[in-house]
Amino acid sequence: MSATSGPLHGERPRMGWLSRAMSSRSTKRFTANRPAVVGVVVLMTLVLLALLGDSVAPYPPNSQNLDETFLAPFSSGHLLGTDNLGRDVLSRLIAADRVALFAAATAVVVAMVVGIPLGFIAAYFGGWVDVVVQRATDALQSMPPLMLAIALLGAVGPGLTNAMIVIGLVFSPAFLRLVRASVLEIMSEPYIEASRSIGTPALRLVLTRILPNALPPVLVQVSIVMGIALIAEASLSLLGLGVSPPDASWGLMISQGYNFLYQQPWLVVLPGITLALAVLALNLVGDGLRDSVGRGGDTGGDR
Amino acid sequence: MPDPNHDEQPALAVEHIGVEFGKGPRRLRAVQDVSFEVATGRTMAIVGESGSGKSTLARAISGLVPLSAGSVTVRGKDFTRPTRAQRRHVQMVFQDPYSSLDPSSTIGSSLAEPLIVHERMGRRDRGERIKELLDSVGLPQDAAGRFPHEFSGGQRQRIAIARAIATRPEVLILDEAVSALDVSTQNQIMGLLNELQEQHRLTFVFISHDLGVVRWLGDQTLVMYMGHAVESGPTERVHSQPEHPYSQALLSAMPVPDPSVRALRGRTLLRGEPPSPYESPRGCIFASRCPAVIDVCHTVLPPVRTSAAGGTSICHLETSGSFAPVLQTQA
Amino acid sequence: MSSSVPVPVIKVEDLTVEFRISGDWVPVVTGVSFEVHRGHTLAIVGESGSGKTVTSMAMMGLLPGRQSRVSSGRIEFEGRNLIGLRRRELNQIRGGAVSMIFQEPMTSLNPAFTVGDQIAEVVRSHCDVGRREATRIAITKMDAVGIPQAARRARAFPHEFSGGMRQRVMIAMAVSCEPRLLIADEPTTALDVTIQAQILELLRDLQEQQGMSMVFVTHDLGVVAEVADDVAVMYAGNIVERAPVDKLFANPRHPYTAGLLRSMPAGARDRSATIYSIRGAPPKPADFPPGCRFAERCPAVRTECVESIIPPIELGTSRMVRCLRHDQLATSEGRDLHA
Repeated sequence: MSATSGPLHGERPRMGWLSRAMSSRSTKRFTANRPAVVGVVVLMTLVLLALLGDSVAPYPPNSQNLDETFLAPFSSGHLLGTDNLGRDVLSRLIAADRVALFAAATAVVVAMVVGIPLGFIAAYFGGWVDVVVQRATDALQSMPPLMLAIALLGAVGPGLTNAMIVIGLVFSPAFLRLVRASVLEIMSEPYIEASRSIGTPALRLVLTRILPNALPPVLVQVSIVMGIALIAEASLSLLGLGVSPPDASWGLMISQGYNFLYQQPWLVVLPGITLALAVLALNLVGDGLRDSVGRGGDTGGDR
Repeated sequence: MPDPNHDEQPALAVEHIGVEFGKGPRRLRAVQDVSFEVATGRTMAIVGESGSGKSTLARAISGLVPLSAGSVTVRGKDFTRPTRAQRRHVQMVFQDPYSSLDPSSTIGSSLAEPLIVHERMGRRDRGERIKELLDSVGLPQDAAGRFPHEFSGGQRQRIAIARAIATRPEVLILDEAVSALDVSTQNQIMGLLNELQEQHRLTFVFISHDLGVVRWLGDQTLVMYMGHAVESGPTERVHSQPEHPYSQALLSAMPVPDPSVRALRGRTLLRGEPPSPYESPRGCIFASRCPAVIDVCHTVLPPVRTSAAGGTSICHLETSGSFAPVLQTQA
Repeated sequence: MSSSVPVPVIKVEDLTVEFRISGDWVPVVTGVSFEVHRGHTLAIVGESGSGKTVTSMAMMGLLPGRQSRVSSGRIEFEGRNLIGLRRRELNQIRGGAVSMIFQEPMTSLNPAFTVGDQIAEVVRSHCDVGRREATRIAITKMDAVGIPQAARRARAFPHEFSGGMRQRVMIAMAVSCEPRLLIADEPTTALDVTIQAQILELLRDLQEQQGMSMVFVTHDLGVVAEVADDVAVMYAGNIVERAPVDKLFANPRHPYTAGLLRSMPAGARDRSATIYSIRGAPPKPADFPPGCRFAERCPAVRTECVESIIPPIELGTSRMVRCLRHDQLATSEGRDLHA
């Protein structure tokens, strides 16, 4: 099946995990899960819109037209209507999409960069290191996350980037605990003991045996944490601590639109629906990943 | 490769090994004062029930668990705290074929690991060696590109054995390596082990609770109870003429696949359960359950007695059959 | 209609169980038939995947509902078909007249309740007594199964017991209402051999005292020889041979039975010879061949063996074999088949 030259048959290079992942059982299980696939489609649409952004939006998102305020959806020239300053809602939603995805991505990356290494260190070294990390995490988690975020933003100053970094920090315990539990579980598996008895050096053990088995279940959480981050961003922007006007963000649009609820309820409903859809899609994908990446299959049938 | 000049030296020598965990009131003596030697190409079978310490002993010999006392010597060289390079000489095969291979890596990757750690081989040579190893355990060469979940338990155990012999070790420690397999598969694996032992002059330390398997594979048998080696000797002798009351009880408890002996069999039934591993009784460890116990057993450690037919046992009673009839009538 | 032949305690007739595998219904147990009379023990022996556990679960109506179903056959307990009984009627019989013990006592006992409470609960639901009386009975049963200091231990939780003791608790629970039939699914497989000997003796004593019948599922031929009056050997979802225990061991008529017996390690190894093992592995339910399911591993196979399903062949009273060549094995030459 493979030539005798080139990468050795059976000894795949380490990046081969990607090609393996694509054809694996997990992928097949995922694609059989219809809600998850729908979620992926919605997400990809959102990502596409974010990337294409300005070229797809009919109008510049911040351009005002005081002659055409409070237009309803399906009005001529404005598919989703306009807001109190005559700005096209559709264009603003698309701009907000880009903001949202950037925000969520930033938050999740920060959460992972902080949470994953600490979780791994706590599990791998154990002892007092583990105790210190865990108690610090307990302290962080004892405060309501949004309150904590607001307090920290008070210290570093508002703004979208700061907000998302803070959100990332506040949600890092989620990854930390997950990684810690996952690594602890893997470390007690016989194949790790087998590697130790072979004499495999610690670094190699961690990189080739522990992490590839411990991380996938954790990465499943990325999707779900992104959903939470989105809502957090919307909340902070609603409170005026994230995105500031005139820029668009779903949360900000809801907050501003709330003032005009009687004149044009769509100004609240449309960004609300979009936000909900995005979070739902992320959750569906997360659930699908969790169900398909789970370690099942072997029931020890030889006895 | 074994040095022909050192053939008289035992492949493995274990002296007064002790393994302890914890401190103070939670101190657990998992293994106490165990010694034995195994000649090259022979098998030492270690048999015992749960709590006997046999698995801890296995891990102590292979260096996975630190010794609290005693020493391990492999072919004359100290192996008590093995360096990474030394580990190539003693390898282990574990009980559960379903979790002793990394599920996220190919078989080839698992087999390559000992080669990468211990040999300086190029990729192509490694590939050749992997093919050789697969062949020697009766698996097809395309197995290298597949994953553990694609194989049955028996096949996975073959892979585990292939991995263990990759560095051409002196000693192989097999911890209940066939216990999780069906009887037909068990026999296939035992046949393979026999073959490999003959071909490569491997020395085995075979841990099991299954006396039938032990009798077949072991040249010597060591019977363990609560961390102590209560009897040892040539396998045939220990199985046909056990001298320690615990060995007798263990052997008589083993169900025999012959219904006609059912009625005739006098069986030694042990009463009660083993004591807590945290306790350290003053006298014989087996005193609380021994059907032939006498007063001195509770207060004085039993001496080591040598058996005329080979081997030793630790017991206060005179051996060679004097209490064997007594035990047999207690049905 | 009066009959001098007593009704068997349990009679399974032509039982077929199907599992849903990848969307299709696949038979995993086919045409299983046996009966057990009062006070007798039937051992169902087979390796993993043989269908022995599925059979025992089917008898108790414990198969998982969505993925499995009994597609044909009868399971008669004292003449009454259990299949198709409503849940309430089944629950009256289960735990009372018919009870079951399993391999893993730790997962079969509820960790959140004391063992005394758990046994008393069974007693209350089947023996129609009040709480205090049920607790008293529970303690009596714990004592009867050899748990020391039963009154005190009844207030302990499952995790405070060792494996052997937990299995005794399970047995106490199972025999608390003096069942007529006990189904034991590998009850001693997870136990040390000295504890196993104690448990087997206990079961034998209880059987004698209460006149209880047993269906004992195991993979261990040694245990079969110890406990069984009759044996049913299962392979790939079929009973391939059924016989009284002494006849089965002395004179097996199915090549698989002969192979299993020959596989028992006996004595020391002969280093130059190869140990006997049945080559190959059992087929999975989705891959059951149309003819004899053992054919590809059988040393006595002939062309007619693979053509169609082998019917059960009665060999006198209480003996059955599914093999077209069973005569072969009756002779001493045949017994060397596996040589």
